[in-house]
Amino acid sequence: MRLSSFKLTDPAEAQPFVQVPEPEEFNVPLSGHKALVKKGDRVRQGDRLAEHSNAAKGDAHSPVCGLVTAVTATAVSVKKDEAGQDGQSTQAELIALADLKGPELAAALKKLGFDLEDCGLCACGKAADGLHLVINGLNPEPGILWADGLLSGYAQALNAGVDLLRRLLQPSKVSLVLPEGSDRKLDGDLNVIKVKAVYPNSLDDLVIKAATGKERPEGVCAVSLHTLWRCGMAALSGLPSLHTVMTVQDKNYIVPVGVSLRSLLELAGITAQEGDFVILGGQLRGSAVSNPDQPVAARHFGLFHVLQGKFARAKENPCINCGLCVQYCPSHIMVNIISRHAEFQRYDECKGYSALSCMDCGLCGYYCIARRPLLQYMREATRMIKLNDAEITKA
Amino acid sequence: MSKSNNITLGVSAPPYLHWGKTIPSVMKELCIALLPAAIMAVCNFGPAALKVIGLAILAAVLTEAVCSKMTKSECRLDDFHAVYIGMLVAFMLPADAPWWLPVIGSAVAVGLGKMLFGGLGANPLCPPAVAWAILVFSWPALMDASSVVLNSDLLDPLYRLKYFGAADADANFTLASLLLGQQMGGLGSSQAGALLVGGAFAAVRMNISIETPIGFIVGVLLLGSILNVSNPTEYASGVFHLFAGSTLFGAFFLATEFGGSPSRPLARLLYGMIAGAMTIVIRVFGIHSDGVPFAILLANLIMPFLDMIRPKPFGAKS
Ligand code: SF4
Ligand code: SF4
Repeated sequence: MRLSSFKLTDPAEAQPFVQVPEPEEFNVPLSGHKALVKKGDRVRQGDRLAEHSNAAKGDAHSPVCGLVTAVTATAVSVKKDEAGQDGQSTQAELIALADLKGPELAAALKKLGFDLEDCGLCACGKAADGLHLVINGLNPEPGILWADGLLSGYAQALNAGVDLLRRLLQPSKVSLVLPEGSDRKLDGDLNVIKVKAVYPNSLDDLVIKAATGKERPEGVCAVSLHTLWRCGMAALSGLPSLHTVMTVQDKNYIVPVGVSLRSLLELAGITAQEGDFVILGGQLRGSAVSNPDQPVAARHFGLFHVLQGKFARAKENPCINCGLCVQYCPSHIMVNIISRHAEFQRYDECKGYSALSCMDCGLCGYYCIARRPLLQYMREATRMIKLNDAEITKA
Repeated sequence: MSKSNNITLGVSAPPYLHWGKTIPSVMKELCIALLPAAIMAVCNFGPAALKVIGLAILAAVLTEAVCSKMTKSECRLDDFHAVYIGMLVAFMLPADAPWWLPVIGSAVAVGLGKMLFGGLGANPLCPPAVAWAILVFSWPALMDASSVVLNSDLLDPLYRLKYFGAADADANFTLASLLLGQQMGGLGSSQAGALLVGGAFAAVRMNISIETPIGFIVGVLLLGSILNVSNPTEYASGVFHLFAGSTLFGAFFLATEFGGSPSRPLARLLYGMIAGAMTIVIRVFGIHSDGVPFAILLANLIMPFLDMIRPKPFGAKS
């Protein structure tokens, strides 16, 4: 009856990654960035297009050498043109990361497009002393297939990534969590831990628990293979983060940042019909795309087409107390009660019922027979609780 | 919804995977799970049983429609829960009950047991059990199958047990006869074998949680056997209690009602065991010869405490 076994490994993983061809025109996505270029500017590959005012959020870069054709609040469009005009270089100056460490490296990574939180730093951009770095070597969700391929085919980049993170975070210990049965390795003195390759074991919270035996311990951070690969590519090339790895339906692709989701779907041979769903991210925790012309960002890691009617629509139905959400919640919380409070904005009650323990797995929504949007209620509750708490500490 | 190149993609909240079970699908399958017992009821008690079932379903559906109209809430008849409640109510009635008994029973179950509390899931008590209790208090004679169903030679095993002793009960009933529903009682609730088949189907299809009936059965067998061993002439065996009267009906279909049962497996096991043990206590020490619905109502009241048995929330500092 359990529609999906939630396996995190799949035979389809063995297929080589497909390189997505570069389009003529890119739309580099912005989110809260301030543009540094204007329409008509010439840019080289790797030039900064926009800057994020937050020192922990990555800047945006041009994936190609070309001409800026449009600048909006959400994207900068760059049209590729003939390289090497006027004898100029087509590429931005390379940044050597090998000699940098600590805060200098953090600043360089921000300029290269990395969100520092993804790299194991706290939101303020600092690393804890004596940190335990845990590399999450599992596919984040069922359906995502790139983990094993990265470990086998891109070990050089991953090793460079580990090396970079060691300099960035200066951890006292580095662990690598892999699926059971995997014999993949990375260089260096890594403490390897194997876990059962079944969702939700791939969530950072549970990966950290597997590596330390503790629930939400202080001074431990998890970094995904996806981020590790991107860091490694930057370290090897000296260029910003211009590519991402994505599983599109059942194949892995190396995707240039700034191509449209539509072209990815076309490449994968997918034609979405009226009413179908296109999901960015994983199918349990991702989000439905409303506009397929939306461009790929560096943090994107999955794209799926779900036929209309594959699942009953989530709706604000009343809870019937079947208890399934509670039974399957890996955080051991009363999702039924919390969701009912969240529905009516009673966030203090949500907090009282330990809503903050939620690890955002989506299983509650997967099982709810009333089809309540439980994950959404949980996200809203945790967001509001954190917001209120922040206000209280400020006051 | 959004428009782009003439196609409108679907937008909704994650996750975009679902195991496929929804309230209507669960309720439909639960109704199907009751069908074997309904068929056996017609075999054992004749077409009158069908009339009672039909009337109870009709009354349940109508009551829900009227209640939703009165409270101006969305009418959720399409979730089939009213149909299911109607069947459950009918199953506990004598086959030859007067026409208005199932009608009142269903009206009480849906109106008082469910809608008054705000609908499915908000009910703290099992609605059909509430209806049964009210009917038993109001019309005890009409709820006694032995005195209502006259054109039948079947005996009520629990009645024999209570007033004639364990030996008499053992002499009059074999395991096979109990399983085949050769016993006087509620028209569907006494079809032990058919209920076992339907209950197993419901559990395998994950429409009910397996822990509740297992706990219930263990509770009945355990306490029944302890008493039986202590005094075999007075107390019937646990197995007799399991297949006599409405034990299996309660275990699989009443105790598993969503609103009144706990959420976690261990708590459900305990909840089932409490209800099962209470069944024996009521049968042995109470005035009612059966009493399964009472036992379940009592367990419903304990449910909130059972829900407190839980592992500590992830990462919580205790
Ligand atoms: S998403 Fe739902 S099931 Fe998952 S941890 Fe949060 S509340 Fe529990
Ligand atoms: S799964 Fe849905 S209906 Fe069942 S208890 Fe949880 S929120 Fe309520």
